[in-house]
This record gives sequence, C-alpha cells and structure tokens, in this order.
Amino acid sequence: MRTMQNFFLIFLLCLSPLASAIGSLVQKYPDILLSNDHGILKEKDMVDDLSYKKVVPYRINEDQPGFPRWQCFPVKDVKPIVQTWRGVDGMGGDKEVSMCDLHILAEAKELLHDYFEPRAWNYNHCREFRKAWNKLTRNESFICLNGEPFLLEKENIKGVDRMVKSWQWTKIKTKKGCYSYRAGVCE
Amino acid sequence: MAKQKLKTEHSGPKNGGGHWGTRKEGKRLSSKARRSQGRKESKSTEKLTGESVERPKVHPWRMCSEGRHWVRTHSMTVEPSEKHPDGKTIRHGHCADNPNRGKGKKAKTVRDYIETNEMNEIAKDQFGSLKGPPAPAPKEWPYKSSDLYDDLIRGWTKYWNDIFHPSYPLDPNLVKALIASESGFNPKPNDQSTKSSGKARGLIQLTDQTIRILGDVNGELKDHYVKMSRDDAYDPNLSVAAGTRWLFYKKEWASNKLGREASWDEAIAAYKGYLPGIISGKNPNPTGMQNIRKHYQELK
Repeated sequence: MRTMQNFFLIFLLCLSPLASAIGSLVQKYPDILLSNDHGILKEKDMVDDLSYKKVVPYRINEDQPGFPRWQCFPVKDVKPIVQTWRGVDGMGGDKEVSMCDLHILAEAKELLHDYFEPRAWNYNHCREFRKAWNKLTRNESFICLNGEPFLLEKENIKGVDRMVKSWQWTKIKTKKGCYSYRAGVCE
Repeated sequence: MAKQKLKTEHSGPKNGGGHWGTRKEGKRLSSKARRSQGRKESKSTEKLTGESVERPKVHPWRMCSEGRHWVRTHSMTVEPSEKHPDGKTIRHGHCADNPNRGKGKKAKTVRDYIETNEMNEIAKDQFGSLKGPPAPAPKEWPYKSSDLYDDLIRGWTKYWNDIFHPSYPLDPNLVKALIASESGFNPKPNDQSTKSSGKARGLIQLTDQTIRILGDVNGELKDHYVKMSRDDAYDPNLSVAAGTRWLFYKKEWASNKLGREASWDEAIAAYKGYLPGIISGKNPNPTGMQNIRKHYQELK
C-alpha cells in the first residue's frame, strides 16, 4: 500500500510542472493564445510579434485586424478548402494561370472559424500549401493557427445559419513544424 | 592644265573639303577626315548623354538623364600599372547607359531604369522635406511602427504619380493601408536567409516573380524598370519603391482588362489577384480585400 502511495506521489510530482507548463502560456498570454496549445507552441511563438505590435485585448465580436492570436484545434476538425479559377496572378505577369483562394475552416462548438489569406495566389502556392499541410498534420492530433481576427457574422452555410468568425492567417504549427506563406516567418 | 585636270579627277568631300592631289591620296585623306569627324560626333553624343547634359531627366529627382541610370562608387579591376600596381581602382559614382530591350537590330536602349543605389539616394535627398498624407495611424492600430515609413510612402507615391500622371493620383493612405494588411509594418522576418521561392517578402510582401518582372527589360513591363534583388525586398525603402511601381503596373493591366481606367480599389484587387473573380462575379467580395479596405477607411 505504501509503495502505491509513493508511486502516486512521484507521479503527481512529475505531472505538476507539466500541467503548469501547459497552462502557463494561456495564463501568461491570454490575448495571444486563446486555447490550450497541446504542447505545440513555445514562449517564442507568443513573443514573436511583440517587438513590433502592441497587445490588444481580444474581443470576439470585434473586427480587430493587425494583432494575430493563436488557436489550436483537433486536426480532424480543421479542413483547408481551395477555390480555383483561371486568372492573372497579382504578383505575376499578364499570362492567364490557374489561381486559387485558400481558406482553412476550423469547427469549434457553435462557431466556425474561417481563416483566409490576404491575397489570391498562383495555384502552385496552394499545391505547396497542400504538401506542407500533409507533412505537418500526418499522424498529428492537434494543429495551431495564427491569425488576425476579423468579423463575427451569421452566415447561411448549406441551408443552416451559422456564426462564422473570420481570421487572416499567417502561420500554422503542429509538433512537426511550422508553415507560412511569408518568407522567413517559420524558417 | 594638267594640274587642273588632276584636281577635277578627285570627287571627294564637297563644300570645299576636296583634295587637290592624286585620287589615291585623296581617298586616304578623306577616310581620315571621316574617322576624325566620327570621333567628334561620338564625343558630342557622349556629351549629350553625360551627366552635364541637356537631355531631360525622367523625373527631377533622378541623378541621370533619360536613357541612363546611376551606378554608385565601386571598385574595379584594371590592367596593373604604376598608378594601380594591385590592378584595382575605385570608379566613382557615375551614370551608365541603360540596358537594351530586344535583341539584334531591334535592340533599343530603355528610357527609364532605376537601381537600388539611386532609389536610396532619392529617398535620402528628397523625401525629408515632403509634407502631406499619409495620415498618422489611428491609436487603435496595434502596430508599433505604423508611422515609421510615412516619408517613404509619401515620397514614392509622389514619384510614381509624377511619372505616370494617372487621372486619379494614388493616395499615400492606400499604400499605408496595403502595408498594414500585407506585413503589419514588419519589414523583416525572423530569418531573412530563407531561399524559399514563391513566398512573399518585406513591407509590401513582394514575391521573387514580381521582383524579376520589375527589372526584366525584355519582360511584361514596357518602361520604368526597377532593378533589385530578392534580398532587397526586405529593405523598407526599396520595398515601398518597387511595390508602388508594381501597383501602377497592375492598375494599367486592370484598365486594359476593364476597357476603362481602373479605380485604385480595382488596382488593389488586381494586385491581390482577385480582379477576375470580381469581374466574373464568382468571387465578388473576397475576404482578402477586407483587411486593406478597413485600414484604408480608418486612415481617410
């Protein structure tokens, strides 16, 4: 019995720093990390933007471009969707190419989070993203998304009224690594 | 009389330039005269295209006349001599001829070509005294350095407006809003050494492809080339200079597409790749335009 008690004590001692570590990022940066990060994020991820941005308290109902926040979701609840068309690349020449508009949709309770990009891209970009997505999410349970909050609106999706929160995303991260369409952000 | 006959035998240069001697000697001397005249003409052309010339500049802020661009002081290798025993010397800042557009007989020197050195000189010498928009950022904006690049925005917007003379000049506030939406006024990411192509860089988030087209004298642009490297995109001054130039190119493209002069909002939509979707109605209100429109409204 005493052995059992000792084992339980040691187990609790081992678990407590871990538990406090998990909670500490959310507690320390409540306006930057909005959910449990499941051990994916580091302190550096929290302070990365602070050198050139001021923390703005998060208010879900407000349109607050500029200051990005982290949210983490089960991978199974997150889905990238791509809209394609023939067009001219805003960053390219005059030739028509396949274009894509990428959104990452994340389901959370009664809310749907819609992470969009600040521009449409040549389809190669979406192909690149798909590759990175597969690599980062394979056999992973959780993914964290970093984005600036935009409007919270009611939208009719497939005949159902849903509250949708929009975000302009910059980077995504799992335990396997990070990806961004901005050069040098994740490298 | 025989001498007179000899005189008329030579039909060399007219207007008193003829040679009174044998035909052979006359030809030799006349060729020499032509070469000398050619050198004189070449010198006068050089004078015409040199720094102290009457040929107009593309813009009063430019350091060289049309057809030439500024090259900063640099070291160069020369034939070793008493003066330069190590075979190295310093070539002071000077104007050099612009590259040619086209090849072979169709090759033509481009009118306007600007490199990074000159863009830096212009910003240093000209932008400090300018006044006017963009407006200071609202207090609610979360960016710490949102007004730091106002002089660059003001300067380059004026420069390109002067060059292109659009019916509705580009508003510096729109450029400021574009920077806010693209990079959040952060010109430098954590790691600038990344070689990943296809990704966006710097204040205005230019891509490698954009940078290549801007400087390619045989590419899509017809004039007003901007030559810079991929790493230059991290430099705030060069990013604003090139990004604003690109915006004018996209406005021109959008105007051709629409069959009328495009608005600046449409130019931004073209810059962000959304214009075809907006025109066709497939994507009339893209979410990617929300950010810049909101920032722009708040600045106006």
